[in-house]
Amino acid sequence: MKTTEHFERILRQRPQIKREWCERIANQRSFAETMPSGRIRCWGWVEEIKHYVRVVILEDGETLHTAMIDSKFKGGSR
Amino acid sequence: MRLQYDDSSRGLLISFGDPKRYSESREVADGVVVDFDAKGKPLAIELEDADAIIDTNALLQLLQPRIDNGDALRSFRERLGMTQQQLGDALEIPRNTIARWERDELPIEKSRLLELALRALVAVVPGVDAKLEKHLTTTKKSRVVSPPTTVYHSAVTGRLLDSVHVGGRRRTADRRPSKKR
Repeated sequence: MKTTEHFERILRQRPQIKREWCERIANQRSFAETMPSGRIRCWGWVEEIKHYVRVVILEDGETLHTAMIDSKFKGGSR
Repeated sequence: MRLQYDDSSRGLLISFGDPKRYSESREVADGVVVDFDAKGKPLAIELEDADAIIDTNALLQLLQPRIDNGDALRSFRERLGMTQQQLGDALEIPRNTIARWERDELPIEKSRLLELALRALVAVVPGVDAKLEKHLTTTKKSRVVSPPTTVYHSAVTGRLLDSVHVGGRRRTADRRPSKKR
């Protein structure tokens, strides 16, 4: 998948997050919302860390922009 | 502290803690994410779309200053929150020279060297951006310089002083007492 320079920095800043998790979450889009800017936020459960990871995709719908471990997300209700 | 901005995606990352300690993130406002370690200590702040929150032009001017007149230098110095004395001390330039530059009483010849010196200063103060570092190691003449350490800093400002006209005469390193480093 395409990624932004910012995404690569984020992976270095949050080394616990694996690139393959982000790609899987972006492809599955189990929980997703489109922001007013057109960017897409999606969440996916990561069993390895027992947390949801949130991924932001750019307006083009395919470029990974950022990712974070989101402990407040509880599977559809934050 | 390290400040990194991606102008294509408009993502801004301000990091100040050890990434190895990263535990989780919390969105404290729309598009503003703070990283924490396991004890709740903040490690970094991320603006997912900086343009929506801050003036990124001002940010870029800080990271990539264009200093070609006194107003530009004054504006840059004020963005750093420094006095003329503090800037002069940091660049090893007399305060009076800074003041005369800002009043356009002295020409800022070869201002690119001044820009590099100021970039080195920014690098020393808030951190080193990868782009900044790349820029500092590759000039138009492909001159390779060291990373922005204090030693490098002095080397840049030394060359800077060599290029400055004082009172209509070129001031050269030969006229100044040599300083052992």
